[in-house]
Amino acid sequence: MKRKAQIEIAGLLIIVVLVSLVLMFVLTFNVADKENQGEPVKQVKESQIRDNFGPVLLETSTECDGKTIRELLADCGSVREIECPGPDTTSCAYVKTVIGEILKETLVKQGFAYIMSVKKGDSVIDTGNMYFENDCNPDGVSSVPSINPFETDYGTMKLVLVQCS
Amino acid sequence: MKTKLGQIQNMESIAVVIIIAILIVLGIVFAASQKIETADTEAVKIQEADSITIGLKVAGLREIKCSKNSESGNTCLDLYRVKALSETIKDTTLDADKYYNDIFKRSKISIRPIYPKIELVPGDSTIKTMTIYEYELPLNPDGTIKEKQQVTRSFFPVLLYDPLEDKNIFAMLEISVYK
Repeated sequence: MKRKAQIEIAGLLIIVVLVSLVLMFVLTFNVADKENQGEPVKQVKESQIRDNFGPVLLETSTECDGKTIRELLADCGSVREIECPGPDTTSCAYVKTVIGEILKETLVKQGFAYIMSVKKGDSVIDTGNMYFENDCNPDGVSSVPSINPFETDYGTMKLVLVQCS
Repeated sequence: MKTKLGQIQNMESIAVVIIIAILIVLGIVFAASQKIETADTEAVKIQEADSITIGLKVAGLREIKCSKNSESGNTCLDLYRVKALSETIKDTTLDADKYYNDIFKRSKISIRPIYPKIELVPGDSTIKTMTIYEYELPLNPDGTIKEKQQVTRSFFPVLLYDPLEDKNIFAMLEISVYK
């Protein structure tokens, strides 16, 4: 009688273990699936913004004699001859204000974390310090940088946009 | 004594069957709820993919593309062509909306100039966004408008070219896809 009871308990234990194993298996797959769901679409959406932003920004006209941002950056990184209206008369100060304004109305409003910089050679151009950042943890850089090189009379410059996590 | 033992054993078997049945039912309920959740997520994913596709279609529309910056590879739309398309779609006598319904489906497409500041409607600086296309849901039997359920929105930076002033405006193309 006692032996029979022991066998029944062992049988119940086996059923419980089997049910637990099945549940764990199902849950593991579900969690893994949910983590991956929507990731590719999200990445495409973000890359659309990241990859288009730089080229569009460079061609944008400003109210500084109709010059584009590209022309003002080129001037800022070289001879600095252009004078702009308003309190920021140098091309460096003016273009920095304009880029900051555009970023505030677009990427910042959408909560897009980024680092944007304009470089000449390997260093961020010193005059004007063209470095913009929103909510970015330097360890959390999550994308391939979008690099937009542009030619000037004084060498190649590049506008770099990196997305952060 | 034996009859009593037999009854206990029968009860035991019935209890086991009931427990297993409950476990199976719980399992089915759990699996079904997971499936429903997955289907909802899939639907959102499809809507998001649609919003990207529609954005790319808008960017490639020959009716509104600008000729000046096209060689640079930028997404450039002509301000006046965009205005003309918006008015054409809104004009119910032309039936153009039927043609664009096939392309843009259940979505709303609008464009928001960011910099330099321009007046989309001359003399009215309060209008900040121009709607190019908006899907009109069929009316309810009582004549009321069905509520649109917005699922997802996508943004694309585009260049808006003003040929009269010869200037490029930084703008955001906004795509909302409805359920």
